[in-house]
Amino acid sequence: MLAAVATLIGGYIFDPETAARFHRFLLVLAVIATSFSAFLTSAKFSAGDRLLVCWLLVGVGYFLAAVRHGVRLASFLDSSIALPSPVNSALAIAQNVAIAVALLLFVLAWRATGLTAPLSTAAQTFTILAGIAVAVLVGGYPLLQATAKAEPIILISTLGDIVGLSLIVPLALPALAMRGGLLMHTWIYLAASEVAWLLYDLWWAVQPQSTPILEAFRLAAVLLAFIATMAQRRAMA
Amino acid sequence: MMTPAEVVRTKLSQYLGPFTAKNAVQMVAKQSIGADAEQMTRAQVPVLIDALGPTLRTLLGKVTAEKLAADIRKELAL
Repeated sequence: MLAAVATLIGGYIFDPETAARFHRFLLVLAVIATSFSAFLTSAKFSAGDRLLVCWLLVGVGYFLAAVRHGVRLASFLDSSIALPSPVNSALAIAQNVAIAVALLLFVLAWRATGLTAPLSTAAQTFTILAGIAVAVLVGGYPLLQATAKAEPIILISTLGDIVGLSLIVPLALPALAMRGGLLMHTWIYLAASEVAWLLYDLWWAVQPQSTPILEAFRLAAVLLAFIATMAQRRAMA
Repeated sequence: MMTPAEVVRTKLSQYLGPFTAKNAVQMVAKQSIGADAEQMTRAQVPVLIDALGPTLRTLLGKVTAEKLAADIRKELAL
């Protein structure tokens, strides 16, 4: 999380143009590291293992993010470097779909075990529904705007956000169930990453422009996912 | 001296935590052996381990799940 703090500090001590490059540079490093780590984690699983696909999709999602943000970083050096708009849109959509599907598959994998969290069924249902309500509230307005403006990239991105945010509680409950065990860390960091994305969305809703705090939330979200990939490998060592 | 159930719970706790380890052993013991986990004999442990296999494989992958199963068998000299 030092990187997220560095992002915050850098945003205030650098001039805006340098800060933008600094933020983008840290973000590119983080998404590359997360993608690579996710692929490494997926390699620990065998064909037929449920979580193999989950970690592969996390790797793919962050790889696509690395391509998009890497090109944007390169454009600071040479403004002629840019992804064609349809390509950028397609990559963004694929990235959001990959991560959302990955998180959904994580939750379905937990459900398939038949194990439960130390909460009553009613309490679990209530907390999950509350989480979905928060996700819809946070993502609802941007979703309506994107639908009205017919902007597919924002629409898919927002839908992906809503799915991810809705899964915060279903990801945290296995962590609660497995507290004290090595696997707790994987699930809590996945949930924490989505909480960071929630904070990112909330901050964007308040101040829809790139700010040090916004960039710190984004970097934290990526790095928390990175830690989750490492936690899974640690449990399997 | 630990009972077979306690040995299995202890080994699983390292990965699943004590709450889920206890619940998993109890749930699977009832399903696979038809008895309470504490009544499980050493000879019945392989049946329990096989029944736990899919759950462990889901969360830990095939290789780690098999390694854990082998570890439990070794601990109980099975």
